Amino acid sequence: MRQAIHIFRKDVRHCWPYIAAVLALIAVNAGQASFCVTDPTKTPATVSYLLNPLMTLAWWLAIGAAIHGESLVGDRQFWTTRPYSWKSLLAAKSLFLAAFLGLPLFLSDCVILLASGFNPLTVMPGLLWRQCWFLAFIATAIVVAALTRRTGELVLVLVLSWAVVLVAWFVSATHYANPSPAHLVMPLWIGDTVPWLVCVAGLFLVVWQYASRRTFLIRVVAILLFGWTPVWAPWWMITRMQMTSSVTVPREYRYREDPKYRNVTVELAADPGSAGSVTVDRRTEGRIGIPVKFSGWPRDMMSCQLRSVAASSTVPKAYGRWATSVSYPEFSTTGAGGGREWISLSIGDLARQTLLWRTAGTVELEVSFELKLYRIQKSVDLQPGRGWTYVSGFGNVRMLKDAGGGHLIWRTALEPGEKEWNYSFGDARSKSFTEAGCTGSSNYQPLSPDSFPISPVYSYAGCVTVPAPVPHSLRFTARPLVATLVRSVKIPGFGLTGYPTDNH
Amino acid sequence: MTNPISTHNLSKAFRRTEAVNALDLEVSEGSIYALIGPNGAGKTTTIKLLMNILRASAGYAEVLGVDSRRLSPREFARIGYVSENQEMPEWMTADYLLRYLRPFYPTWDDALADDLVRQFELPRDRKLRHLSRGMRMKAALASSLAYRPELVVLDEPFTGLDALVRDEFTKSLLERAEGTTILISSHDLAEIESFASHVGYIEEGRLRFTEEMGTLAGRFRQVEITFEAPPPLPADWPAAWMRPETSAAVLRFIDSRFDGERTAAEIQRLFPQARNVDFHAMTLREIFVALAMAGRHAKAA
Repeated sequence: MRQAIHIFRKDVRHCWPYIAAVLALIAVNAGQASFCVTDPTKTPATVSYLLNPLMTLAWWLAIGAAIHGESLVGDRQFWTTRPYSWKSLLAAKSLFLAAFLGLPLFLSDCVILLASGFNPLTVMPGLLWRQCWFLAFIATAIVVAALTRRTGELVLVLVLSWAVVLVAWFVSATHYANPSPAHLVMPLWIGDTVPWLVCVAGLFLVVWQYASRRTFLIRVVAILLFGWTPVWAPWWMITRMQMTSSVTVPREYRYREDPKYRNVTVELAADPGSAGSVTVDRRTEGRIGIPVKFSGWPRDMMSCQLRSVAASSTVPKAYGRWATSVSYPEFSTTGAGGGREWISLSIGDLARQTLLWRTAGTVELEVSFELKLYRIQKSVDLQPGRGWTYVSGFGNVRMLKDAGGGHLIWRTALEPGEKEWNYSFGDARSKSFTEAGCTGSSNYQPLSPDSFPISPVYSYAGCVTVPAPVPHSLRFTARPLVATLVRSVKIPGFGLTGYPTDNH
Repeated sequence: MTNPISTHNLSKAFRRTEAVNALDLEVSEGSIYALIGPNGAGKTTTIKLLMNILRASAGYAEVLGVDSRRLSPREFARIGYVSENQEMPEWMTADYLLRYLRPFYPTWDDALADDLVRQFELPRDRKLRHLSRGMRMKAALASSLAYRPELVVLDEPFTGLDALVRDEFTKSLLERAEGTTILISSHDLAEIESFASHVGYIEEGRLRFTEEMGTLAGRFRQVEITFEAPPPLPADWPAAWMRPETSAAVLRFIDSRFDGERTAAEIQRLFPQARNVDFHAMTLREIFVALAMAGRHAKAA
């Protein structure tokens, strides 16, 4: 251990410019996240856009400088014929990474959490897990540093690798992204586990390299291990896009549906083929209205939102196979009851669709619904312009005041908030609460070693602003997403032949 | 007692090139062993195999009684290694280099380190990257002698150094490493001749011969025979007589197994018409050149 500390002290002396750069960037990030609490959608984009790549570059350079201080590659290094113990050397480098990369990040996390109204002690397991995530994120750089001689080579290899992955992603996204065939969507277990396993295996390679310095052999193994990243990464990125943006992905890839919502059903609220089954509104350029009836709501489900409606028909396949509703109707229901709703669905260019459907006659139309189920939480009172208020199951919220009124800032610690969320607020004093729900999120970052957010909190801005004068107190009610269900109804004998299209 | 260095059938191949081929080398304790040979003969590869910088393709070596593949920090604390192409931590000053290395060696001698710095006139506060090549080699040597190693291995230490620095380097080495076993590879044969106790000649990865310096110098002679008229070379020309040259009435060759009486008798037998015979002692450089040329001719033939 004494030798490890001795080498560590030498590395500190040698790498101080890199250490200074890392600490400076960490401090800037901590300062920005802690003391500039503003609407994240209005924060100058250049700051956040620059901080992430600069931070990553600073980490790479610091890793390279430390590891290349005793380069493991080549046969000319002075230290290889000195009484170095490889274990001490590895310990020294690990200590360096822990002291100047891990620890500053940890401290910065604590500062940001405190400034965001969270107690770091209560989220300590999450903070330690974040350190593991960080180690996985920098594992690639550590592996490459252990297999290169100079920092220039390290940066070149990493930048080229990223470029290859980006090109592969771009090519794949162009060909397969929208929508992606179901068989091209990566099974979740691969996306969730394999990148982590690769990082752990990479760190084993580093230990092997320190113990044996068999560079050629270990390079070959590393290429086998990381070489398929240009295949895997675009595949995973496309799967992510599909998971978050479309209902075309088979259900099993997207949601693990809670069995207690199994009874939630959707059915056509009129006889198929009857006059009331489907309406076509020519004035809105090709929207059809479908009456549906929902049933089987769980008792604790208070609010439901219908989103991302898609319809498919057996013909024609080449045109207009997919159509997405232009409105997201929201409706509430209570208890186990249900209700009849009209679902508005755009079918695109009505004239073209009509011609095609005329050719085909009637078709069976399948309409898929994505149902978002929210649970209403206990309300809390917010005092605009004051500090953070904790909302159970939701995060910390804060109402900022400005000249135009006020708007909501929402932060979650260590984990992103629900991708879909909903809230309402009203004037607590006058008791005239106004439901003003909206959905939306920002800063969403999935947990994966291929990316790492330098802030431990996720910031969101509410899209509903309070007009001036902002009341002294506002009652805030959060509605976290509890389930996303996908249901569909089939409408046999659907055709547009009965509808005039001469004015389109 | 085991020799500080011994190799057994040591081989190293780079793809199809045999850099070191079945090398059997013994360096006895306290000797100054000069490993000589033409460029690409395998000297540096041999030394790298001994220092476990490279892995042998076959055979093995023992250094300080330990298999070279298992050299540990304990053995390296007893070995001083200096190489012409070693990458030093150039951001360090000479002073910091010595201070940094000190805790690695239990036998480090501060007074000796100071003496070496003074003797080499090393600028303490200047970074290695700002030192001349000679100064960097001196810094490397100082950092390799300050702990009184039992074995010093020098790989082409004189390359690129001027005559004065070479003298200083050699002088310091001999003064400070008295009783230490030294293995040195070099092209500077004149320099080596002055202090080497043993010499090994390596060519195409094979050790052609290894012997004491005195014996080597004793068995090589340049022979010059004067005739009335130049005679034809006899068919039974001895294998130990190398590089025969005839000019006018004089025949010159190098006897690699010189023995005064035996050589004289052999000359008398082959050239009874010889008018005069002279024997000249040879320098290590002349012996080296003769061997290298003979090897080249044999290869061409």
